[in-house]
Amino acid sequence: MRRLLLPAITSAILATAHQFHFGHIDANWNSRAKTLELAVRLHADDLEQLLRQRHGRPLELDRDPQAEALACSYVLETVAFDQARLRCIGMEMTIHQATLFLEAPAAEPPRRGRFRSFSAHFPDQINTIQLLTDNRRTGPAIPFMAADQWKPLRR
Amino acid sequence: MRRAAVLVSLTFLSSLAFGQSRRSPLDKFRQLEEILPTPNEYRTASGAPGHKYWQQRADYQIAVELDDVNQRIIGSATIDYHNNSPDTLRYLWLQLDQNIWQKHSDTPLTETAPDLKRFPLPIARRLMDDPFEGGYTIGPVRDASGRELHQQMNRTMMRVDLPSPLASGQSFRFSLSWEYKINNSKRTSGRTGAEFFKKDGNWIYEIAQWFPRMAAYNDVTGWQHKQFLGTGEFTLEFGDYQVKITAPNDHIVASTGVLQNPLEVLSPANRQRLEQARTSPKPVLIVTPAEAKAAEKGKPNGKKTWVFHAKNVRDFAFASSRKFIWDAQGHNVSGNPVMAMSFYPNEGNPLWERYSTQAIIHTLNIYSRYTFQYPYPIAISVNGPVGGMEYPMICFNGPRPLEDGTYSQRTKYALIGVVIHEVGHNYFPMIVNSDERQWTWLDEGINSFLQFLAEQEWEPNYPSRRGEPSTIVEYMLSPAHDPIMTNSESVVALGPNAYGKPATALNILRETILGRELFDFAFKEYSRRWMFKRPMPADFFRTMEDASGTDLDWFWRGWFYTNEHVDISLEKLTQYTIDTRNPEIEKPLSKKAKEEEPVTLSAQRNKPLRKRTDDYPELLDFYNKWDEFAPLPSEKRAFETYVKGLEEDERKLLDPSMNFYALDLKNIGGVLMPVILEVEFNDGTKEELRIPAEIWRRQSNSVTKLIPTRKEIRSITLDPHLETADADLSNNHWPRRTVKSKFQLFKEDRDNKRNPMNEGKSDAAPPPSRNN
Repeated sequence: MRRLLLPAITSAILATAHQFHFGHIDANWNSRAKTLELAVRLHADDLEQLLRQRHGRPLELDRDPQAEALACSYVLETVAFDQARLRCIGMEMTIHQATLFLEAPAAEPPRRGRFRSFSAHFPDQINTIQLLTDNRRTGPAIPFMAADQWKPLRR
Repeated sequence: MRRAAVLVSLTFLSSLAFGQSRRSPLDKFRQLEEILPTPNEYRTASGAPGHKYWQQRADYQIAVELDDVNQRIIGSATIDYHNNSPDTLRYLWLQLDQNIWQKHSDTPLTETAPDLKRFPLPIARRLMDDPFEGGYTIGPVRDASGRELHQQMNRTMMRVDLPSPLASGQSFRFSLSWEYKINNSKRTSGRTGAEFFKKDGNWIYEIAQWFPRMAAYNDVTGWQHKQFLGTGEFTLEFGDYQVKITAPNDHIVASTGVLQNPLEVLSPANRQRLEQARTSPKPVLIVTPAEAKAAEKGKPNGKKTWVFHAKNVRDFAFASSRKFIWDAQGHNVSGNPVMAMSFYPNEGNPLWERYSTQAIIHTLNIYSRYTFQYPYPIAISVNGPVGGMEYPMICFNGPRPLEDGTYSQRTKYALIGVVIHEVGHNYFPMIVNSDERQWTWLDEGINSFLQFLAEQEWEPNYPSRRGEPSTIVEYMLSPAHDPIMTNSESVVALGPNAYGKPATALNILRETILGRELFDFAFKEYSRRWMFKRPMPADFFRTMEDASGTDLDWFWRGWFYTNEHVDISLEKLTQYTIDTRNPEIEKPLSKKAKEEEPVTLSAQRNKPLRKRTDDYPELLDFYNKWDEFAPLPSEKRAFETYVKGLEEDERKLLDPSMNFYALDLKNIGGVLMPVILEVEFNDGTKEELRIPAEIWRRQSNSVTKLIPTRKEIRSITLDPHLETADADLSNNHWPRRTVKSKFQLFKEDRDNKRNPMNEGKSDAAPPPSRNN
């Protein structure tokens, strides 16, 4: 079988000093509001480097007025749950971490998820999705290695 | 809360038993002797070097030329190897770390596949059109008489066969030469490399792991010739170095060791400023930004040879460029005069001139307080292509401001943090010479812990990445969580595993388990015992127990040998009161309890119905009128008789105001931790109860703690100061509290909370939506 191999010229980014490429989503299904509430946590260094590469300018997450919109755009490309119509409602920054908040109407907890932030850039990227219902964990976190696409979140 | 009366017997307090769950099959307090190596005359059971401890030594005389035109290193060395072991050696092993850049190196061969739909340019380049081919070209190896010795390459290792066996106590001198192409950091990053600046056509070189270095030979592993795959850094032997570095004559060279020929390589102005810097309270510019700028535009008209001597170091590195600004400040580190120096290009300012040398001095002050006096005369921080890497007396640090000279808070703290970390590595592993090829955590984890202490003394609320327990929770819950005691090359996520988790563990050990006094004494003892020696993990574990007087095997087992996490749950609180047997007290209490019982739905609905006895009151008899909660005379007499039979001190136990609370605790995460409780009483007062981890010694999965008190408990919070890395805070309260998610807090606060870092966002485009 022959498949096309596409070097991602614009996605080459430098290795960063923390030596650990990890992203995490707390995906909470709010049974009362019937919404899916996501807190997507990413390393600020990685996100900043990636946005610089994508947009070809020396963007800084904590000072660029466009940073939140650009970060939201990237996360919406790389995070998905079932057919949920995700909307990014904002970003919160600390020195080391960026947390993006997404939500979508959802009649029930999601069955499948896809979490590929940085997966195309770091072979050792590990992402996890922790599914919760009304803020209580419903099982162990589901790991997404760099090559993983859609995965079931519950049985 | 369930309330129950306790029937007092006179043996009540000692015989009452709680907790009905099944015992855990494994004793988490069992000693580590089943895992740790047996103590011997080289390493004692107390964790100290034994009376026959030995280590090898290697002294180097090196001449090296930096080829600035072709980016090559050309070197030659004479090595004196001293066999202090009790063994006779027939061959020697040397490390050839540059060979990871060879075409068929194990490093790319053993890499697993990246995402093949979109993969990064450096990987594409390496796999296809323009791979960097480096690695050593080694010349003949000769003994002192010039005789050629047989050499055998094994990827990143080289064996040199000795002409005759080297007996214990003997030394062997041999020479060799080499050269290699320096990796361009833009294409192939690593711990060493060259950075090209297109706008002025100049290079910065950070040269490390650049010469054939003697592999370690020790009492635990024999020869440490585990192949270098890129992660497990190295371990080496101590020795004295005399190194001659030849570079273009307009370069400034920063190096391990003390410069021996300043008259030949420095200008009179440089020398005069350097002298001034020795006693200056602030960094002094030895090469100014304007001088560095001017040098960028010039061309060399010859070469200069810089000569450095370094005593008792395990390695040697240097940096060279005509772009370097150079500042220095002399500092007395508890009696030892040290020259702290920074080398950086104009591109590093204004960040570097403000923070680098200050951070060096701060590091030396704090680390020396917790370990030993810094023993070297030099401490250097260099800005260049390497993000962060340590060598004796010199380290390479990457953060820089933007081209317009502005920088974010993250860049600022990234620089301060990395300088503290890399300078701190002088202590671990450059002086306490642990084996990083095997155990990354033994230097990186300890160093990250000390980095946290140093950062917290830099400014109030310094935003440390690692150290606080809450920072490691996410990793300990993740599928990437390996035990800390995992080989450097096998760890999935090196940063949190070998840096963050041990830093947190040691912080918890200091603050929560031992307390600062016991911990600091024991930690200093470990540092002192193993200064200029080679410790193993067991030596650390044993010394910390030996010097603190505390059995910590359960702690090492949970935090270092498992991938469990911390999650203790407050399951249930049951209140017990004393059964005084006094009907005057007990009957009203029983009545009150009865009245507080819930009324069933049917009873509520039936209450207004007219009853037959309303129409025929003659149907009511004694039993309808009897108050079952009124004390009977016989009961009162029985109580008086009972009390008469008691001794005076026994009567005191019938105190009705005493409460006994049985608190059920469950260990969900697996890692044992102390139980820290904040108890709030109905009168509004609070009390903190700090229960050692030994509460789990008979039942490691669930226990019940009895809390006797005259007050009534309103609420209990577990781990109120967030000191244990508890992963689930929702089960840390009695009664249970609703814990809001980060999402909900963000949404609630969004309208009236602004992140000061994000000021100026008012012009930002509205966040996009997408249909998936």
